[in-house]
Amino acid sequence: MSVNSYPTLEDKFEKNIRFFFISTGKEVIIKAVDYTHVSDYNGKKIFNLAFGDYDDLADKINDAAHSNNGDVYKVFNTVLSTIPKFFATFRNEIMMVQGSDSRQDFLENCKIFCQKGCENAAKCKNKDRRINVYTRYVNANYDKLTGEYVFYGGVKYGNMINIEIYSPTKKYDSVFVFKK
Amino acid sequence: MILYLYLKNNNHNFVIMKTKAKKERQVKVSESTLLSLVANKLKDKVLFPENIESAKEYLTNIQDNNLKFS
Repeated sequence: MSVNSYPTLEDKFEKNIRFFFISTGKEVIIKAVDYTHVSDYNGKKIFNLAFGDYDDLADKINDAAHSNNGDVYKVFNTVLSTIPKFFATFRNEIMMVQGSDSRQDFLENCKIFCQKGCENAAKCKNKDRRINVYTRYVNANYDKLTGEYVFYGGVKYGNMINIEIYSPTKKYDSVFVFKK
Repeated sequence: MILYLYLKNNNHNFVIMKTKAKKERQVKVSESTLLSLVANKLKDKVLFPENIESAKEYLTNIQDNNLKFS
């Protein structure tokens, strides 16, 4: 996982852990990966994984950026390389991932700025792209990953979320991971 | 501009201050120093407020199906 990835700087806090790295593709972009404690479930803490670009003018992280910096695989590998580091600190906890482009506000904004003839479409082509990247990775490496990790998938049914043991053949809105 | 019109319309005396153009200076820092500076700058900030709220809201809707995560 860490063969082709950027070195990261780790910053630990009581309720979260952050990693920063520099993407040196077409441009130089500082990126941040953040795991924040968002909830407790059956005695375990659930940490949400979020990832985005540092905007130095606004002095904040933009999780909706599509920087197209020419190093997408290296950046993705770097994000993945932080997962074992997260579990090294929070050994018995759960990590969850959702895509920032899976939120309802993403769909609404996507429809407003749509340029590819999707004005009347109920769905935006770019919606769920991020969670799909993560699930494709899990699906492709499922046998290897399950030697060390346990995976659950979350699916939204109306207002309810059903969480089940992960199946590589199914589509999920969220993925939950913890160490065996 | 708003301040200028306000002062003019209210017959205030005012002085337009000229700012001297500052020469840009480049300082070389290592990648790890740069990342430390950014991390330090952001240490009291919530980096992904919308994402975190969305995750919290999502998790409140988990169906109780005796999920043990074990």
